[in-house]
Amino acid sequence: MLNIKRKNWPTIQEWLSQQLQFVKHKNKPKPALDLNDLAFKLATANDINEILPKVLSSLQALIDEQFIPAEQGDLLVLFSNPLTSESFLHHSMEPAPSQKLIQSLHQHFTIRRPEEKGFINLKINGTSVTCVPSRLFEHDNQTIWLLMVFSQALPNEKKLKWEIALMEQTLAKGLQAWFQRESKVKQALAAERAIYAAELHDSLAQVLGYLKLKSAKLDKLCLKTEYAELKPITEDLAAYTQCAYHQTRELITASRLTMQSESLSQGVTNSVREFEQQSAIVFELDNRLPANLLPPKQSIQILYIIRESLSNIVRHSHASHARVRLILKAPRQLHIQIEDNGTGIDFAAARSDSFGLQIMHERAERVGAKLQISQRHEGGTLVQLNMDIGDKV
Amino acid sequence: MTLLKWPTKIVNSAPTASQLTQLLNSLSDVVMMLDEQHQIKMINQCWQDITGISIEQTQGKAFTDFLHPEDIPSWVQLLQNMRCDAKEVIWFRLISASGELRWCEMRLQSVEKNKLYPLSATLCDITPQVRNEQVRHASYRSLQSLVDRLPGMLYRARNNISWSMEYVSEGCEHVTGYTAQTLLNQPQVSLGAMIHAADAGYVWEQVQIALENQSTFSIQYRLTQANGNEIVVLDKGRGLYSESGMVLGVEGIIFQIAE
Repeated sequence: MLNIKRKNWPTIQEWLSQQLQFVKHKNKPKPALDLNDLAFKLATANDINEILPKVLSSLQALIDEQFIPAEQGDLLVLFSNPLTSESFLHHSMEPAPSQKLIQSLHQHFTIRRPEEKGFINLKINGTSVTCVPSRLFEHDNQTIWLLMVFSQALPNEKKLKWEIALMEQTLAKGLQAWFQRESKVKQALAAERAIYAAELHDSLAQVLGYLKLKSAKLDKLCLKTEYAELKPITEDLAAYTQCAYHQTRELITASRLTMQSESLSQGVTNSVREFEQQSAIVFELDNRLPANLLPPKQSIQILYIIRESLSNIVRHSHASHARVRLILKAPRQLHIQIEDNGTGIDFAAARSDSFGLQIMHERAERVGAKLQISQRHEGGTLVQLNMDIGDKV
Repeated sequence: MTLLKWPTKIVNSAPTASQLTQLLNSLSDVVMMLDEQHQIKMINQCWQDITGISIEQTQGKAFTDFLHPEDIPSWVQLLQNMRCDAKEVIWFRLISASGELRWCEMRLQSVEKNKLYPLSATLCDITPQVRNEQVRHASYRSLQSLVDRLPGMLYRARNNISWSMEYVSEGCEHVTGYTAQTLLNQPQVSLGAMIHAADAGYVWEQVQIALENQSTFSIQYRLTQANGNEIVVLDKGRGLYSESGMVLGVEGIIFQIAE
């Protein structure tokens, strides 16, 4: 008799489940990347410049598995804005793509705006590179492209298309949601600021306006000799109230202007147009700043300083020409220059104006900018503002 | 005696390359050629004279590198809509080597007949003209806004019973309740129709007397505003005459003086 002794014979049930598990295990795909997770990550990104490369890197790993090393290509996402002639290339490549490649992608997609789908051959430093573009969507003058760049052999076209389609879906879904969320946040911020500005206008500005009238009247009454003692106090009172009123009004205007346009450039343009209407001075605006350079908080302060300078030019300068120049001296060094060919500033002039200059300095300090007000060599006044805008790219 | 006269030799040979280069460099306009990438392929000496940027530093660069950033969108748009049989004109600002701006007018067309690229272009420095225009515009703008902000109505009218207006300032709305555009363009709305019926004859007479004597008039009368309100206005004015003394029109200003 055959007597096989084994301590732990599996029951049939156990055996079956073992077998089934084996079968299951074989057919079960490797713990795949959840594409929905990636889309969600994009949609909720606070800083798209940080998240998008990470997502691209995950997608890159996924697509690389499908092809042999010689047929692998690099995934890139291009935000192309033909109106401003700006391209932003997002990538997860190490090392970063060459300047030549970026240049020719910018040329091809932003400057020449291709209509066709299909492969694009580019010559980069003598080597031929094939780019497979797919247009994801358009948002606000921007076209979002998904690009795959092959420097070696091109894989099977059908398979490639199939794989790219998956990536397209994920990226389009995530980025579109991100854009939507961004614009909603912007709207909400603008609405909030509008409420504050209106509140400021209705309450504080009204009361200050009333105080301004009354304090000026009081000051006038104290001209009589019997009140001579009070005169210095009432004079101060009137001047400070006038200044507070003026400041509040200007702040409301500056925040309204930044709200309307979202950008410093537009706010400055509107302000120059406004002051132009009030005088015969030739205003020249030379604005070389890219759009959306500064956050609204800083824009308001800078705009306040520029408006204060412009109103000084209109009120006191007797100038025939004025120039406002906004440039980037170094990539992150903002330089603003407001000059006129008038009579020049009289630093020992009326008190209310020295208040104005003092406030300009304070506001410049608040945003970490350096303000310099001086006489121009050729006559007139020169206001210069220098500001380091940090290294956020 | 025979006069030996040699026929002058007709030189029919094409100008040499160096002659052409000399010709191009002598011009006081910039001549350039742009390739498909909108890079500068060829450019003459005048470029350096205008911008202070050397030819070597310019050739092979994209044209947008020299454009004022605010003018790039219109430039890009022009190129996108460019067709090979079209000749385009565009104004923009160039940033010179010293950072100063130069206003330029560019004329742009294809070099070959049935091919869009390369493009040839001439560029003319129009900075002095633009500056003059800006000064002219500023003084016009200043006068215009002064006139339009006055709390009265400046006018130039024809000498007829409805006082048809040739010009009215924006203050018109303040006085009559009608916009200047309405008063100028709609024949059924006229100053004559707004004047109180009982005053119309007096107004006409007084103005005619002043015109006859080539003097000024200053009259008060009742006016019905757009909303039906009746107000009293003061109208001061004088005639507009030709050399020969013919009455061409009436000019003046109307203020409201009472409800």
